[in-house]
Amino acid sequence: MVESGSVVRSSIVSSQVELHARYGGVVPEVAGRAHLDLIVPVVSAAVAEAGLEAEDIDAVAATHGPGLVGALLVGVSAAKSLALVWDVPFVAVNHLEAHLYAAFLEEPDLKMPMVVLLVSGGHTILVVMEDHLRYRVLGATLDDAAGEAFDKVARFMGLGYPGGPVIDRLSGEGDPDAVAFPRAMANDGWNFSFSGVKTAVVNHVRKNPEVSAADVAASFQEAVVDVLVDKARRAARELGAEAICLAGGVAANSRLRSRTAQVCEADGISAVIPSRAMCTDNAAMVAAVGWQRLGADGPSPLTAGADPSLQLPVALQLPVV
Amino acid sequence: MAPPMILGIESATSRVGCALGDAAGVLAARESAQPRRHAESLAPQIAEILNECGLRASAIEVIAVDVGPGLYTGLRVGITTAITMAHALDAVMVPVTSLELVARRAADAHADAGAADERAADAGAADTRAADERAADAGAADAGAADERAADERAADAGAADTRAAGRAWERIDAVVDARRGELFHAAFTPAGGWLSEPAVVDPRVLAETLCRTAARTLLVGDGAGVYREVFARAGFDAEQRVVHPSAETLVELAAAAVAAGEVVNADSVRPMYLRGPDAQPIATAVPRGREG
Ligand SMILES: [Zn+2]
Repeated sequence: MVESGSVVRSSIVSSQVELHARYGGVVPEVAGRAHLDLIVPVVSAAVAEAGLEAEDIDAVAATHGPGLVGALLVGVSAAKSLALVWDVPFVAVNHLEAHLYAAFLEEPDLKMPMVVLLVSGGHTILVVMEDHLRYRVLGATLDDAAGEAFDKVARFMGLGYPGGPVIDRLSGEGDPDAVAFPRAMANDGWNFSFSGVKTAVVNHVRKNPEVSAADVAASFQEAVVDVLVDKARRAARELGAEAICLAGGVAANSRLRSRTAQVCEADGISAVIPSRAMCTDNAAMVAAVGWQRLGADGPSPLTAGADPSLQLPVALQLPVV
Repeated sequence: MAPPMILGIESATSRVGCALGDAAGVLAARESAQPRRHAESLAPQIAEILNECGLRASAIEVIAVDVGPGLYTGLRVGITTAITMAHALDAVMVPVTSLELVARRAADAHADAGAADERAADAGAADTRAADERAADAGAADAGAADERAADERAADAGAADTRAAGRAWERIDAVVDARRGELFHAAFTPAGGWLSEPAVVDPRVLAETLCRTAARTLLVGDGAGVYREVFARAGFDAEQRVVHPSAETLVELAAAAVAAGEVVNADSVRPMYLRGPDAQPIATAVPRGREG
């Protein structure tokens, strides 16, 4: 429940991490079933915790993509049902756009233009945000998402799921300079590639079975963070951005957070680093975009469906870099 | 006190539909045969039938929903819509299985056809032409409520009349709903719609052989009968096969009876009837815990 697009009245997240850990990763059908079981309790808790009544709710927003279709269908169907019952507008929200808005829930008056590094298990996207709802995708991963690389490396090393937090923790005990893993496309355009570093880790561990897992984890993490931070920094310089903002589940990584803060300080721009709860998937950021989109575009039609491969809309009026 | 207003939501097959009515009958209904458009179609349909009846959502006191077994995509949309609305409206619910809905619809057609036959016999006109006319009548009645209803279903309703006209009566109804991946959801019913077997996932070939060995005159209904038409024919099961989809109107009728009998439940207890596991097994290895958010 979010008021006026930026005041969080309640934010309930029923994480399925434990459930998915039992399967060694996200199984779409398991996720879909769990969503159906949890949707009503989660909505009830959000309304109750905000101390509001149904009559106080002015609109209902839900993610309609991208994501797992079975999960999206539950959210979209529930939101439209509530909009019908409460007789209020329904707003279909792009999940990636919601991540861009997470930071505004903690700092509503962020200065733009701002470079946003959106990194999660499914996405690695570099965006320049010129103004509210006006932004352009500079680049994205050509293969694995950064979070996916963390998961795959963790699985290969037998560290469990999800890989990000495990590698983050283990890296604290290792030497980031122990192994020089490749920094693919570091100085080459705005796109990313993380499948090479993942393969390099696998090869290195196979050739050196006695290697310290902490050193491998720390060196792998350093390689990924280097590429992410260097590219965001270069984009901020070239575009004259006021800030670099982190978003998405991988933005909870402690090394990525500290390195981003460092380079922003060195370059005299702001580092916008949302709390970990705001980086990972949450519904408050969906409500924030719902408020923005409702104001700009009006309600979404009840015929809106789920779009598992929805992309970020691109604002065309921005200058090409 | 007026009888409670019932919303029926049906989405267990490739179709999606809804109906609004009470103990006196169905007031409005929609059905879309456009495949894989459950999420896009259902909410607008509900808004339309409420509008058509001049009602607000708050008038709904009972929500009846097809809980499957059926196709997950559709069930997920229908059941999420039903439980979310029921919770927000503080409405009670009537969960009904897809197999029961299909069998009930066939049983009703059977009973109607039987009554029509008696009238036809009195008039001394129990010939194929009479059956054709009944088929046309049934079609016209259906069309008023759901324009998209397929002609094959009208033929199916009329088929029961053909059988009566030929002097035969069904002794058992087998309902089959397409489960994809070469399987069917199945249950057997009495001609009046009472359960004879538990819902189960079956191999169409095995079911076809079982039906061939069954002495009872068996009516096979449900979209699964159409999907595996050739399998049943090859096994020598040549009773007329009928494509009958579960319908939201039948759901409202069954729910009205359930309300009268006090057989309603809370939304919290309504879940899909999956019958199959989620295609993945938990891994045995220990995993680290403690990730937040
Ligand atoms: Zn996300």
